[in-house]
Amino acid sequence: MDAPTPVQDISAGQQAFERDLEKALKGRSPEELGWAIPDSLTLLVPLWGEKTSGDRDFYLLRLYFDHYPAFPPSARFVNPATLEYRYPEDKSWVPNSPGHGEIQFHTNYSSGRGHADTQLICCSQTLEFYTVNHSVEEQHLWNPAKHNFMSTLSAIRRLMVPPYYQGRAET
Amino acid sequence: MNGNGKGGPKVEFEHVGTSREVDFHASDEDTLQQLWDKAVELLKEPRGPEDRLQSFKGTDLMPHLSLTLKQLKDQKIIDARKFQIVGPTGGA
Repeated sequence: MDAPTPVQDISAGQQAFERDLEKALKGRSPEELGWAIPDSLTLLVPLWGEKTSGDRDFYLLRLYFDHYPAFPPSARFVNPATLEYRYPEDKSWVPNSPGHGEIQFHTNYSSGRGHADTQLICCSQTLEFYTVNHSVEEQHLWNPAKHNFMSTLSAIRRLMVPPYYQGRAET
Repeated sequence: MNGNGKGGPKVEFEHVGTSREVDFHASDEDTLQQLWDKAVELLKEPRGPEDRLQSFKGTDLMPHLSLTLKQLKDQKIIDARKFQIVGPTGGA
């Protein structure tokens, strides 16, 4: 089946982000986790890509909650200096982690369905997966009763460790 | 499980979907499968058929369910005794 079409709801997103952030923090401050919250809809999460050799590379993930919780947060790796992503100059700020069957990072994805080329974290736990009309099995659809943004982070972290993480994207 | 784990290392499990956590003392000889079973019992969350276990760093632990806690540490598969129960995802 094709993924359902997301509908933006900023007010609901702000409320659900605040609610789920409190659950995720478990009494800690965002700073203790290295997180930053520049506005009421945005969460910046530092992540490390770790190679089999143990070498590590730094990345910054930006989650945006304007369709949340009915849909997952938007998730994009961004240039830490600009907090934006522009292709091709920022492609090295996207991890190169091929070979996983359930999630993949694309530096410049084209859906071929009239959507602009964009970075895509191709996983049913990101908003972009739905905006590009990716095909999806029903049991993998985002379910706000079962999922929250920590599900998104957990899915993305699977590609930040061996054997998947290979280094920075080059294409 | 091997004994009641009293005095053994503490392990932590998080059910990502609900953000609920449990911790308990285990034995180094407990297998990951045994620990997961115990965590599900304590969490009182139904186990989904496609649920999986991963480390907090993101390492997939499903191929290692038969290993003991000691083996997981000795083989450097985990560097902390913190685990996440996550649901299925699609994509790629």
